[in-house]
Amino acid sequence: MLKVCDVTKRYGRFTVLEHIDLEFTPGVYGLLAPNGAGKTTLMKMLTTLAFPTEGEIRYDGVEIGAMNAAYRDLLGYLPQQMGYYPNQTPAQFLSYLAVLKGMEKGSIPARVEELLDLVGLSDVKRKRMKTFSGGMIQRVGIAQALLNDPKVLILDEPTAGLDPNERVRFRNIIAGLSKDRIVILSTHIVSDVESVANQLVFLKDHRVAGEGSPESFCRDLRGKIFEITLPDTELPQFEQAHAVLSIRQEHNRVHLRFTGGSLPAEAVPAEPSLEDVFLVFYR
Amino acid sequence: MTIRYPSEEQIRASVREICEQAPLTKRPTIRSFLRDMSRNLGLRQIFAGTWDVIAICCTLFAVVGVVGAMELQTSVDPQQQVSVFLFAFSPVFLFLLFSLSVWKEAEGPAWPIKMTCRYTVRHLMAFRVFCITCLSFATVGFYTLVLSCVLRLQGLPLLCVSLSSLFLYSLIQIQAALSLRSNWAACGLLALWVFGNCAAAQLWPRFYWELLQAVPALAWVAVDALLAGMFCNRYGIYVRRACYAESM
Repeated sequence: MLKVCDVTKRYGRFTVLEHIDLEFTPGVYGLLAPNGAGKTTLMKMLTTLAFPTEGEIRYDGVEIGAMNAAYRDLLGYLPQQMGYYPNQTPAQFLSYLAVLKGMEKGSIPARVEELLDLVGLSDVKRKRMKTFSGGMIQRVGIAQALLNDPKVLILDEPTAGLDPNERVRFRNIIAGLSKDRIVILSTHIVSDVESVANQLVFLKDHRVAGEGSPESFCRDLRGKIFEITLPDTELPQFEQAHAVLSIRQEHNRVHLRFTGGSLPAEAVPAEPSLEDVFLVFYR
Repeated sequence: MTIRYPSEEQIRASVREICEQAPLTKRPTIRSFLRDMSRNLGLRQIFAGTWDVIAICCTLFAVVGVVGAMELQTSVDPQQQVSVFLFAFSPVFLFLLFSLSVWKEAEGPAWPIKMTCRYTVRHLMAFRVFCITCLSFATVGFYTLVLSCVLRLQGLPLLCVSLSSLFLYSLIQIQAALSLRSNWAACGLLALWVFGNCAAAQLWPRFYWELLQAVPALAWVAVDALLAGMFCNRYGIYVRRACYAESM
């Protein structure tokens, strides 16, 4: 179990995260927050790239800094900006990182093959990565994070720059990986975690604003989300009285999804989605 | 009052728990670190991405070395001029290798990934520092001997001067790497030393020559031995810090 115990992180006088308490057991966790909320800082602390100013992070009861290389042996990390050497092939890049991860040299070629196959890059394994698209690079990133069969897999904004097809492929890979390992996926894109995450963590104002299953968040919003269709001339007035979550233009009318304010007679209750949860949290 | 002693099973469980909570790891020595790194990673992987830096530094050193030697050939007192030149110029090669390696690694695209591997960038840098220091000694020593043969000068005093200068610089370099939190600050300080020294040798060659001449040959050897010992001591700390780095 990975436990974040009362962690605060400051850079100089600026507090990025304050009194964070979290517990991760095997499963997929979606860390949702808008940009600049401290997601990446939390990810860096979980990967020992940064250390808490106060509090500590423990894996199976032992502080991860004290575990040192033993913790890094359990770790797989895909950073927000997946760095790579453009002149290397994915096979060379993965083999290099496998050596740095301390893997047994004899087992490396087979593992590299296996992972390239998993992420669908077997047919381009001998091509230099400078010719790869953003999606292909991201897939190399996922493969490198899985090299040592990590018990803790940390993915920071993994779907940034991926097209819809690649996003779906990525989600399927993640879904298949969640057994027996902790997968922490940070993103500000709700659809990324909607289908794969068992648990969600929302960060707001440098603190944990909420944690629970996607269903529980949606359940809490049930009866609070409504839809209405109005003439588009009435939209500004409506927006002043209600929190509008989405707008869809239909000829001279607008179809709105909203919460809060007085309830107009024409409004009909809607089933809350995770997108609504996100928007309500951060409106 | 009766004291209830724990059972054998309880004692064993407690010992096991304590051992798990506080894993004892052997402190790496310089030898064990170098052996493990070269055995587990191999030179090719340790120096991956830095061969171009080494090639650039060798080329620069060769160019400046040849130009310097040609200039010195026409000097009135070559022994004096070469001594001053070697004292100032010897650390340049190591400085370039160190700074460019640091820059290449820090700017390297895979830095965050490499920092989460068992062998991090710190491990790689610690190993590289040892190798580039050895390489610098070999290169500077060879250059000094070639220079003394070509210009028909006394080789031993020149070797003493160049190696002492390099020992002194190596010690400053390792101390800067240990004391300063930022690699860039360390490189800045080292640049100040190296180029300040070169400039001073140009501006006050007489002063440098008198200073170098005042030290007897035996004293050079003693100074070298002392500096080498100090370097090994500091390097040992550098290795341990690389293996157990926590500060950020």
